[in-house]
Amino acid sequence: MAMGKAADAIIYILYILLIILSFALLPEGGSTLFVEADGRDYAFSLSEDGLYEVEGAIGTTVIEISDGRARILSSPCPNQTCVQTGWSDTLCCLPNKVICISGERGDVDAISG
Amino acid sequence: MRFRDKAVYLASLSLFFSSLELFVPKPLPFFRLGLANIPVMMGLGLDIRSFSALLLLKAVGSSYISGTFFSVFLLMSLLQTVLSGFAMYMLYRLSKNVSRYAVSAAGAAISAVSQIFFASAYAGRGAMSFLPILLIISLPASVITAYISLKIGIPEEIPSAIKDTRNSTDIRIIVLAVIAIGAIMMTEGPVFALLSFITACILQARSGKRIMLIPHIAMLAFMVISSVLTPNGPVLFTILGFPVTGGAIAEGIARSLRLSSAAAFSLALSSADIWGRSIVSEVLALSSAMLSSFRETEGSLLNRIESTLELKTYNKTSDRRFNITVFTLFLHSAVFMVLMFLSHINIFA
Repeated sequence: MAMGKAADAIIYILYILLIILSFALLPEGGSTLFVEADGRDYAFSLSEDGLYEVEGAIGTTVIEISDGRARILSSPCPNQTCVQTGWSDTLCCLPNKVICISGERGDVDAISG
Repeated sequence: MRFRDKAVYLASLSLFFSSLELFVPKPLPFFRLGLANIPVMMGLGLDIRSFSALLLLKAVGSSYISGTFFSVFLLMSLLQTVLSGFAMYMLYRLSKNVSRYAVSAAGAAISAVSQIFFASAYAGRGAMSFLPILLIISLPASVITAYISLKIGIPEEIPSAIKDTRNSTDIRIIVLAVIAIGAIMMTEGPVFALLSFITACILQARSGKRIMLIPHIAMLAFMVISSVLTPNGPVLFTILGFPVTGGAIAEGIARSLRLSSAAAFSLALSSADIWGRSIVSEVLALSSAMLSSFRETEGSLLNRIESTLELKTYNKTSDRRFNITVFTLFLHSAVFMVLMFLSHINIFA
């Protein structure tokens, strides 16, 4: 009978450990890319790869997110400095009035402020 | 009762409990309360072959009844039932000293983890936020189901003349169903997903199955919350520094409506006779006999469940006939296909 109690106890302890572990697995924000385009605010998760379009003052800027980083893929500006910046935490296309900043979730006020 | 009959009886009982569960809102159609596991625990003493049959029948049958059969979630439901079931079986075989309560807890843990795992495969990493709460709720639930499973006994005899004579399978129905579900699941965007859902509800209403909105609403809430946790698109407002984005909400709504459409469609088809004279047909017939017995018995809940277990007040009521013509099904499937194609053309770009 003691054996039975011990086996039960082990299982319940493992269960509690699982609960604790599951809290650790909560999706950790991961970084977010905050974008302000011509006055409008956008946010994209850096953990989701993809191409995103935002409308700026003179046209559409395409942002690529891959492997937790971001870059401007194309933009309607004449000098294309934003595209040449490549992968960076801070991207901006002044002619199109697009600004992109990588940050943690709580930073959103820093950008839109 | 022979082992094989026991497996059939327990599987049917499991479906009966599943049907009762339908009245409780769940975030996802393939989330399960523990009730359907009660017969599984009652069957731990079976030989491995009968137990496997029990698990398969339970997975397939409950999927059929709760509307996830004609969809990709059948596989998820199957895996979850099998993983959790065999874990409990092995634990039970490993040491007779392990109490029913611990076995139940182990099974519940595995169920919860696999459910969330599959949910996050569909709804994104945000779904994992629900794991802690699911685990916490499952623990007392597992105690309750273990207790009930110890209290219920398998009756000696059950009326055997339950098997309906059924017609043979209509392959066209199965083909159309597969096409329809494929189209539904590939429909993009909240607008078209909503149109699909309305179409599916029309079909469900036609088939005579009552539509319950609460489960769909619960799933909508779960999907939207899960999706919003991964920002995507224009920021609508912020909560505690977290950006709630329009794109994420739209995607959450679309995901939810796709599942709801598939569920409504499956429910509409659930009285279709595709099982012929197979063992699944037996199980389905027996469990619906249990349901009608439950409905027709008067008295307290305990009373009704007791008489359902023994099928005391069983009388052979005719099953609602499957009254959807192949043509109706064809029309609906065509609509789903059209909606799917339209949704991929950026009409609302």
